[in-house]
Amino acid sequence: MIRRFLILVSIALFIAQLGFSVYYSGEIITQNSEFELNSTTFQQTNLTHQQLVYQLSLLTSINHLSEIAPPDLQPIRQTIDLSHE
Amino acid sequence: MNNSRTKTLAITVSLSFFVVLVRFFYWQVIKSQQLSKLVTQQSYKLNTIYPKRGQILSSDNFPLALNLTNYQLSVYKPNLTQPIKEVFDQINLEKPTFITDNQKIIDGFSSNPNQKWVTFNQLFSATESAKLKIDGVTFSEIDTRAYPEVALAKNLLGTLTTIDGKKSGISGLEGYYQKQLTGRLGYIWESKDATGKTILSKKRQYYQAVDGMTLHTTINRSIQYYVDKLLSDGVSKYTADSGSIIVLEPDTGAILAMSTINSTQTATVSSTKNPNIADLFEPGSIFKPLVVSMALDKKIISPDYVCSDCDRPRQIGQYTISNWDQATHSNSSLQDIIKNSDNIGMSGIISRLGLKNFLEYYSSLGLNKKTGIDLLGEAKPQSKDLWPEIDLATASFGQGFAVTQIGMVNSFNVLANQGQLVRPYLVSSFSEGSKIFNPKHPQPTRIFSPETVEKMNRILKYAVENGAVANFKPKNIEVCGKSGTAQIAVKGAYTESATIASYVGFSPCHNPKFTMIVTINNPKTSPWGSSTAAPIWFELAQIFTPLL
Repeated sequence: MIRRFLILVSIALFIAQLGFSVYYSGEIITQNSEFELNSTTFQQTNLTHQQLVYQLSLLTSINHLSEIAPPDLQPIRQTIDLSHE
Repeated sequence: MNNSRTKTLAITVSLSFFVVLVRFFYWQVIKSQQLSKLVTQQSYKLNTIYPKRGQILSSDNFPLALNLTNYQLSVYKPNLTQPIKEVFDQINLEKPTFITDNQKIIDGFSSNPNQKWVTFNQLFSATESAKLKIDGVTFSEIDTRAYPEVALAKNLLGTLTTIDGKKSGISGLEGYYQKQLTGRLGYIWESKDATGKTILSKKRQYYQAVDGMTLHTTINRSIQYYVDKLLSDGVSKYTADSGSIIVLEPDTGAILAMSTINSTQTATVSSTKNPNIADLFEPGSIFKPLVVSMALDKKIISPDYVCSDCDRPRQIGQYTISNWDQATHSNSSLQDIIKNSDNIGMSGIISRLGLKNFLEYYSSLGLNKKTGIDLLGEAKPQSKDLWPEIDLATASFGQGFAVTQIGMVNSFNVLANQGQLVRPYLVSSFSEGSKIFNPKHPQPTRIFSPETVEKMNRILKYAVENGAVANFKPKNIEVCGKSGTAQIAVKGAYTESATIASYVGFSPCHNPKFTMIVTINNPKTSPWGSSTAAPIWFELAQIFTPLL
């Protein structure tokens, strides 16, 4: 009777141990995957942010504005006025 | 028989155990340290985190230099799953100039069966590289420095070079502030699984990288743009070899713009040298107001001074001092000496001032040393030990000694800053996250009394309104300035064929908003500063007036 009881307890413990391990190793794998994914997203977001800052700078640069502005809205006269000479 | 077998078995088992024990001893005791190192290497990884190089911002916080991650494309033939031509066509769809720009490399790579691998110098953006998922095509990350304003203030920003994989500034602000811009490396020490991925549940050590500081400069983007544009037009119009301009804030010494343009014919563009601070030149007549200020400050002459011997060239030993137009102006007043840029009158004034007084002011104006501007590569003017009488006489009209352009404008700025000398600078503050650091600037040094400066400025204003440049001066602005034309010394003698034409001044005369120097090197259309550098100066002054 006692022998049977001990065998049952052992089997129960074995199953509990197995379940515990499977659950937590799965959890660790999930966390690791999420970490990898978030790291990649973070890097991608950083790169996108960097690109956007650069694009915005290009579009708002005096260099660009002077190229796209029509002649009457040019930020600067194109030649030196030497009419006084 | 049975006994013998048992014995043999026992001995064999015992020997086996002994061999195993010896082996255990070998691995666990003798090789212990080596193995634990190996285990650490295999199960832990050390990643270096590279800091971002600091940005350089203009006075309106616009990024003049920033970092950009780009991608370099490589093609590996054995991994290609489609014909090589189709691969390059696909790349060309994403980057339309790719094939044209790399035709020679592509042809060579396609036709050479022994060449398995090629890497292209042309860089791809993150978006472009993400779209090109082709077998056999790989991208490697390259950190580059980007300049949204392209060539604007490039001389000031300086250049970077790569040493041992690290970017290092070798000129300009990038070089001078290398330490602040670089930041500090960071590290991650963490355990990894068989595939190299991080195991979060294990011990992890993280030393954060510290990004480089952001430099907040005093460069005014609009002013810098106008300076670049008009200087370029001027160098071309006057068919000069090159031209340089510096604009600074009179009371602080903050540099608003600095530029050097070389003509395309004689381009000597150097990536590391900034002529505004590295080239020495003889200033010529733009130095005259400083000599007059010295004499006024020492009370050796007064504003009522009249030159009684200006009716003839001055003879010093074997040398004759005459005027630029060979004219003489008898009984010239002090303001007419400046207005007419009278060399004879000036040599008389410096003779009264004397060598000792002159050298005292020369030194206190900082003309014999570096200004200390925060840029890499400033030249130190050569010190002169012997000053014979003729050298003192020629120094009165800015010949016989050499200064940098920054040194000249900074000393002239004393007249704009109520007689006080300041140290020019480009970086007003650094920032690291939310922390802001302000560099210390030395206290201004008094050179001339405010009374001397007031007297001198009245003379300069009179010279501008009545002299050779009067026609260029816009009616709505007040200017105190002086033109100069210096001969260039070649192999110990002055050449007749080339000059350095300059104009230096500030506006308005009271509480000026800017001090500016324009230097045109070897103009061919006219050798004079009053007809080459001055028009550019006044054109810019008119533009700056509403901006400052």
